[in-house]
Amino acid sequence: MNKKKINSNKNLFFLGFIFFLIFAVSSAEKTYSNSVDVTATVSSTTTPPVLYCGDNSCNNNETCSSCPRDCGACPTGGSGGSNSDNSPSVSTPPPVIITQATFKGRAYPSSDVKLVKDGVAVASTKSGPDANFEISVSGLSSGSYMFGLWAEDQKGNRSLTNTFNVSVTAGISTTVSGIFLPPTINLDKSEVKRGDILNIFGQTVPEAEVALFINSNEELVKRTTADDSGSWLYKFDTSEIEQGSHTTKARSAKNGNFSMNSQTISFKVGSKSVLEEVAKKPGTEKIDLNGDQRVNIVEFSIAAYWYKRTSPPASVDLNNDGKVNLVDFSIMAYYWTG
Amino acid sequence: MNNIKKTFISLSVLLAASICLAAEIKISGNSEIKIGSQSEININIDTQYQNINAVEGNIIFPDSVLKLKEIKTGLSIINFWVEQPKISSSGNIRFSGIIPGGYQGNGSNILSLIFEAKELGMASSVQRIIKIENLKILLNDGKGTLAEAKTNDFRFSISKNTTDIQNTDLENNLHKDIASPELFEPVLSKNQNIFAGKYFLVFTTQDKGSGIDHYEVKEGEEDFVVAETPYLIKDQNLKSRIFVKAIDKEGNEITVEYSPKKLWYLNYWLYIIIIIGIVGAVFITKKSHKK
Repeated sequence: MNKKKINSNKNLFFLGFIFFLIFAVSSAEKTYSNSVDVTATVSSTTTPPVLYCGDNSCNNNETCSSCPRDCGACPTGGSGGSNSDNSPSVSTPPPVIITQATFKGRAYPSSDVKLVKDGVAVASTKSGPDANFEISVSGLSSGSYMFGLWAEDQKGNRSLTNTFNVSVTAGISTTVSGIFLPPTINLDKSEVKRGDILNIFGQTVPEAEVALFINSNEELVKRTTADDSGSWLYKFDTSEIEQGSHTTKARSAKNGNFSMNSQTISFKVGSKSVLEEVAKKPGTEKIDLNGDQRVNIVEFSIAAYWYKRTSPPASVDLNNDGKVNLVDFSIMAYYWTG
Repeated sequence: MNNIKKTFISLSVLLAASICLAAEIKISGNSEIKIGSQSEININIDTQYQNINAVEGNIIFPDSVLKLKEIKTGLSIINFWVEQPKISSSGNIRFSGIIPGGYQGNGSNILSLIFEAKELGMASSVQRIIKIENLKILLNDGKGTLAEAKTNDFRFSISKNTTDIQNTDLENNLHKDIASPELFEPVLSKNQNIFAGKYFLVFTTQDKGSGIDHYEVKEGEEDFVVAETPYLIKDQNLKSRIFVKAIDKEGNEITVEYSPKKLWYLNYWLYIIIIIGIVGAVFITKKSHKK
């Protein structure tokens, strides 16, 4: 009886093993048939280098005395060996040279912060509960880079991109600190009946002061303070402004430091109130042509295809003027996420 | 009388403010170009405290006395060229590009031009101008608002060369770009707005030395062909390997491979799993038979 039980257990184990194999193979197949990924870098070639002192290579009859920059300093003293250039010298491992750029600043508590290098997203991190973040990118070559930083708040609203033109030198770590990302901003209504309350809200650094600029005949400036979680809300009495289309933007300040302005969002004061769609992210919905919540090289390429061509699709013609020109690309650059 | 005075002062202040806020494209370089030697002319921008994100224009130069040797974009703040800078007609270089996220600052490079002066004939020197026409600078405001823009005429003279040309060439060699363009990842996409919804590939990279010259694409066993992003993929079944090569203006290149869809039977891990499975199954079966 026991032997029978052991055998049936073995059979079950065997069957289970076979099922595991089938599952592994099928899931691997599924993964590969669905995935679209870059697999490998194949090659990187350069033209023959010009040889000179300072090209980081000890060649072209250079010696430690004629070119210490490339060949290293000539050994001094030592145990009996001559100091000629051909003598074996004590080699020390070269120092590890990391060329990188680091960015430190404040976004929103526990928010996703993205780093964009020359228009391409290259790194992301999560800010701490105090909204502080630090993010680095390495593997850079000498030259001038345009770095951009943006963050997404707890509700999925994204900030505008803060850009920095950073000159990077080989072997040197560059740090950009004191970054203060602009607050996020959103509305609870796209249209509001004059006299009703319009809720303007977003997220920023905890306990930061938020200044709201409301475009009207005369610009109104309202102030509120963010709570411990960085959330801020201003209940705006729309009887203060006339009927028609308006825009608003926000800016944060804390300890004497100011953020850039948030993106500008529009609303209408009319005779009825229309609630804003909950999931709507201000601004980007028309520019994100492939629906991946990103504005990047894909959107740029689609617009580039239609540049100066006749009858572009309405979704590519961002300002609805019947053509794709620099204005459309400028709108795209404003909402760029990388 | 007082009213006239007030109006005049207000207008003057407004005029001064508008002049101060005009973003400026500055053309600079050595104002004396020697025949036979090369001279670099820089096109830089001063945004005058405005946040801008798009620039375009036509650089006009006298091609009767100047030969354009190279257009350098490696140091440019323009990350995406809508129109890659190139000669559009005789003595006319067209450029158009954007800076994602915007830029505010002074002295950053848009592009640089390397010119070589031509022979003058009988004249010992001539005065000429390089200028920019149709200049447009757009604000980073989400609406593409046109910024006030101004530029300068760059006046230069061409004269007979009296210095040693070899020194100039040597100096140029020392600054020669020997680095490949940066590593990049092409992205596959498809969209109803383009190529009738067919698959296409987009790609971009940077070269901090001389700038990107062009891209080439190779599908499967075919040869590399010059290509632009977006690139319509020929094999819409996505079974061919695709190679994208970026080449800078000095001829340095980098190639990346893109496999749109990996065929599951080309995955070596699956064979290892199957072999382990078979060995395991045989082992268990044998052991159970023994008992």
